[in-house]
Order: sequence, then C-alpha cells, then structure tokens
Amino acid sequence: MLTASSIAQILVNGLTAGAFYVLMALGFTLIFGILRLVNFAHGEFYMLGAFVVYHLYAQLGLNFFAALAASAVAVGVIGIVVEKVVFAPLRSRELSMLMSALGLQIAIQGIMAVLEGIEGLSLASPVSGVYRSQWITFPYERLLVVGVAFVVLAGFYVFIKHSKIGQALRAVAQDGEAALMQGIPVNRIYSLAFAVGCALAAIAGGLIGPVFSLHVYMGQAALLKAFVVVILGGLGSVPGALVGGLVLGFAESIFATLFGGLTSDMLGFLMIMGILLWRPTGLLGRAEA
Amino acid sequence: MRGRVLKAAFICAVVGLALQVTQGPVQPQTAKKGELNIGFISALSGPGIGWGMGMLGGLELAAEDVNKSGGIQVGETVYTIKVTAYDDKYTGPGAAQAAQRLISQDGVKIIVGPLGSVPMLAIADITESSKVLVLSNSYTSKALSAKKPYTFRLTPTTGEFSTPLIGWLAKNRPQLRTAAIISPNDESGKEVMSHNEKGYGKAAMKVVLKEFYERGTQDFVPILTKVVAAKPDIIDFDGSTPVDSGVILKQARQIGYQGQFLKGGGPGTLEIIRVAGADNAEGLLYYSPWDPNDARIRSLMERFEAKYKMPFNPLGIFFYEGGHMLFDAIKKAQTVTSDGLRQHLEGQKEFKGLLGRYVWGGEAEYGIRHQWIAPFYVGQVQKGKEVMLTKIEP
Repeated sequence: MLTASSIAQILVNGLTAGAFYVLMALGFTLIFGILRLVNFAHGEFYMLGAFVVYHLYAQLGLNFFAALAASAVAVGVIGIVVEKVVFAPLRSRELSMLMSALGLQIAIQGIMAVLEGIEGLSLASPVSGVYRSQWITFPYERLLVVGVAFVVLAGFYVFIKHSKIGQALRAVAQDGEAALMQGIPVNRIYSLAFAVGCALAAIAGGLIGPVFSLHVYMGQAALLKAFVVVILGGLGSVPGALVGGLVLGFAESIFATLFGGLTSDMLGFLMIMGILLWRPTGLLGRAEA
Repeated sequence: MRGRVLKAAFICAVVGLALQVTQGPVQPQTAKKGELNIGFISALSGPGIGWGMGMLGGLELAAEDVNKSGGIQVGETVYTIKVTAYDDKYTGPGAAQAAQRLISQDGVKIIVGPLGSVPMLAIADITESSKVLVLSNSYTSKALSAKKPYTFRLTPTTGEFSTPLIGWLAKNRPQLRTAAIISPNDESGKEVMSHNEKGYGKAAMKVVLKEFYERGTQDFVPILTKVVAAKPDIIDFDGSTPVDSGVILKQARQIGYQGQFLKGGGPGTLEIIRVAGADNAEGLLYYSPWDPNDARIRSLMERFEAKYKMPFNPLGIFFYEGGHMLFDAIKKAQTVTSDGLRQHLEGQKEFKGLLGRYVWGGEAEYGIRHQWIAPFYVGQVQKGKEVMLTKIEP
C-alpha cells in the first residue's frame, strides 16, 4: 500500500535516476545536434571517464573533483583526436559515420579490456553516509550526483546561451553552411562539439561510477539509456534531454516500486511509444525541414 | 665364464632399469605416438571471457599434466593431448559454427564446452547427430535429456547445489526464515529462481518476494525499495552476475537493508567484494566450488595466472577436474571413441579429484545420468576475505 513516505521515496528515486539519465544523454544529444552523428561510442567515452577518475582518484589519491575535471579534459582531448581522425574525413556521409562509430565502440572496448581487464571494480565515493528522515532515505553519493548534474546542466546552459562559442555551436546546429558564410570556423566547431560531448560523457561516467560499478562494458547500458532519453526528449535537443531524462527516471521509479522491475520496463517503453505516437519528434524535438 | 655372464646380465638389468626410470613410464617398444585432438568452445572474448578462459585454462592445465607424465597409452598408441579452441563469443551462432568446424575440419570426437545455455542448445543437434561426446558448461535443464546420449555436463547447476546449500542455511542459521529473490529476466535466471524456490520450500523457509530485472540494469534502488519493504531475512542474488550482485548488495546496504545476503547462483565472490566494497559485503554467504585457501588450489591458481595473466575463475576447476576425469576414463576404457567413452562414463561410479569425490547423477531431473555432481563449500565474507564454513560432499 502506498504511504506518504513511500511516495516521497519513489520521487527521490525518480529524481536520482532522472539525474543519471540527463548526465548520460547530454553529450550524446549535443553531438547529434551539431554533427548529425548518432555516436554509438558515447558509452565508451562514459566508460573512459570513469576509468580516468578511478586511476587519478582511487589509485593516485587526487581530489575527486580535480580527478573529475582532469577526466573531462583528458577524454575531451581524446574526443578531438577521434573526431579529426575518424569522423572528419567522413563528414556528411551519415551512414559511414554511423558504422565508424560502431567500430570505434568495439575498438575502445577491446583496448580497454586488454589494458584494464574485464572484471568489475568498485570506485569509492568521495562522500559516504545516508540522509534519513521519516519520509525518505537518500544516500549522499546519490545526492552528490543529483547536485553535480544540475550544476553541469546549468553551466552547460550558460555556455550554450551566453558564450561566443556557444552561439557558434547553435549557429552550426541550425545551418552549417550559413554559419560558414558568416565566418564561423565550422570544422573547428565540429571538433569542439565532439570534444564537449565526450567531456560530458566522461563527467557522467566519473560521477556515476561510484554509485554503480566500473567495468569495460559499462558503457553499453549507459548508451541504451542515453538513446532512449534523447529519442524521448527529441534528438539534438538539450532541454529535451533534461525532460526526457526526468520523465524516464520518474516513470521507472514509479513502475518498478509499484509493479516490479519487469513490469516497469514494459510499462516504461509502452509509455515512450505512446509519447512518440503523440509527438514523433520527441517531447521537445523539432521536425527536420 | 658363468660368473661373467651373470655379472654382465646384472649390469644390463641395472642400466635398463635406470634408463626406464629416467625415461618415464614403461612403454612397449612397439608403442606408436599419437595425438588426441580435443575440441573446445567457449567465450574467449567479450563479457564472458573470464569464465571462458577459466574453462580453457582448466582443460589445458589438465592436458599439460598428462602430457608431462608421458601421455595416455591406449592399446599400442601413446597419445598426447592437443586442445583446439574456438571462440563462440558467447553466442549460439558462434558456437554452432565452431562445432561444425571442429567436427568437419579438425575431426574431433570430443568437445569440451560451450559456456552458457544458448550456445549449448545451439550445438546439441550438430554434436548428437555426429556422435561427438560433449562435456559442457550450461545452466539450462534442456541441455541434458535421454535424447542427447552424447552430452554430459561438468558444471553443477543450482538444481544440484541449491537445496543442500539452503538446507545447510536452515540448519545453521535458524533465525533466517524468509527470503526475497532477485534474478535476471532470462532463461538462466528463471531456472535458477525455480531451483532456489524449491530449496527454500524443502527447508520450510518462505519466499516473500520474487523480482526479475533486465540484464544491463544498473540502478536497482527502485526494485530494492520494494524488496526492503517486504522485510526479508535474506536477499538472494540468484542467477545475477558477480557485478550485478555487487551493485545490488551495495545499493541495498545504502538504502538501509541490514539483513543477510546469499549468493547461491554461481561463483565470483572476489568480484562481488571488489564491486560492493569489503564493508558492505561483510557476512555475505555464498556457494563456492573450491576452497581458495587450500594449498593445492592456490598452486593451481598460480599456474593459471602465470600462464594466462588473469585470475583463475572458479568455474575453471570443473574443467581441470573434468579434464583429468576424461583422461582417466580414456586410460581405463582403453578407447578414444565417443561411444566407448560414453559407455565408460555412464558406468563410472566415482572420480576422486583434487577437491574430493565426484559422481554422475541427474537421472530424476533430466532423465539421464549425465550430470556431474561435485563437492562444494559454503563460504562467508569475513573482513574482505573468503572464509569457508563447511564442505558439502555429494
């Protein structure tokens, strides 16, 4: 039977899951919005981010937030190299880019399996303990993810809306050729967008790693969730990723607690199908011209 | 003259004996050398690589032991063992392709593996129609039946060890009366769930909640909120992988569950401890196929790690022991044919291995006595270490 405290707990669980999904989906939707690339290797950048944090924070003893920032920079730099080497030569050939993204996913997984092994690892959270009240139970490490997710989202919003580079990113997303005619270095913007998308994936991996577990295949589940969130919210829409992530998180939490894990997945996808029938481009997506 | 002849004969006998001692087992001068090719199929890449390499390593180390001791003499031929391994990537089509290749190109009559129910079911028609002896590793009850006379299973399933494990729990932890079972939503998970339910029923314990989840789930808190509300004395991880079990354990502790955890669905305790953290995993009770603190097991683990540069997965022990059981069967049955070996295994009363006594069983469950029943241990995590509480013999 539903009590006030169980409803409160369901909402807390939904908010946490929603924050996870927003973090996973943000970089994915940015890359699609700018490069028109469904980046199947997004989960692998998420995994790389988690492993960089693991080595810097858990093994070398660096401060967690410094490790997280370093991870974002390192994976962002890898992203620039990957974009230049793998995707730039295939620009505008969307199917070829898609296949390359799939190949990249398998290659990164394989390399990491050789370097890190295939067994699961634990990454200790920088915070411990649980907030308990008569209403809710909220582990601090989950609270940290929710807090950082909203800081990242706010920072990203300010960057996109109010910085010169953000304006250039939006211009390229709207019309690459028109942006080029306005003197925007479009190729550099593509690389930058890919790097920022990868850095966001790394932050998500580094933050969520302590809550779940680390292993070289951890990106597969993250990619699936990111994909569902951006389709639900609208491919390429950053506000859509926020709304899609929260809708999915709350839906899973409500259905899983009331009906169990299996029914939750079924009802969650039925709900998504219903939403897509109503709005085929997603909740906040726009139809392509 | 007679004295010199006797002296020469004596010297010849001593030299001959010395040569025999230095050259190994006595073999007739007419003995031919042969190579027995044994096929092997498993996941040697991707997420199942730890299990697959454990299986391969177990078999290859057993073959290494036999080859070092001079091989196996069958009639006038002394066989050394060669293992031809193929990676099925933990898939049905991969396993079927590997089986076809082993049978038609490599000409094997014995296949060890594959790993998992789907690959096992995928090769069954091919191996049975070719009369190839299979020593498999899978969980599904469909793997064995009277219609599959050439298929045997080396790894015990929860069908074999759940009931004795839960029976031990009921006797030694009488305060634990109720359980919630969390399991992946696939054939293996459902099968393990049914075995565990049977075990709890026989021990007069109550299953208060059964929860399935899709593989790939990482956030178990919504499911666990429901589980914890049912107030079970035990949360049983059932057929969850070690990584999933570790995550469930950690997240259940985080939301305040203080009860007992049980991992009865297969080995992988060190990985659970690594993922959950030693503090969270403290007190976890689990099924263990070996005692990792046993000097003989440690030595085997060291051999494996030196050769394959990865930890030895506990599943590998069944293939080390199973490999020796197979080689012993070849020696005793004096045949390398699949029919001859099948008949010998069906009549084999027991095999004494490194861990103890193994017997064949499964007639009641599968309709054929092709299931290897192994001794096992009940382990507990204490201060981040694996401690064996008891050994249960078949």
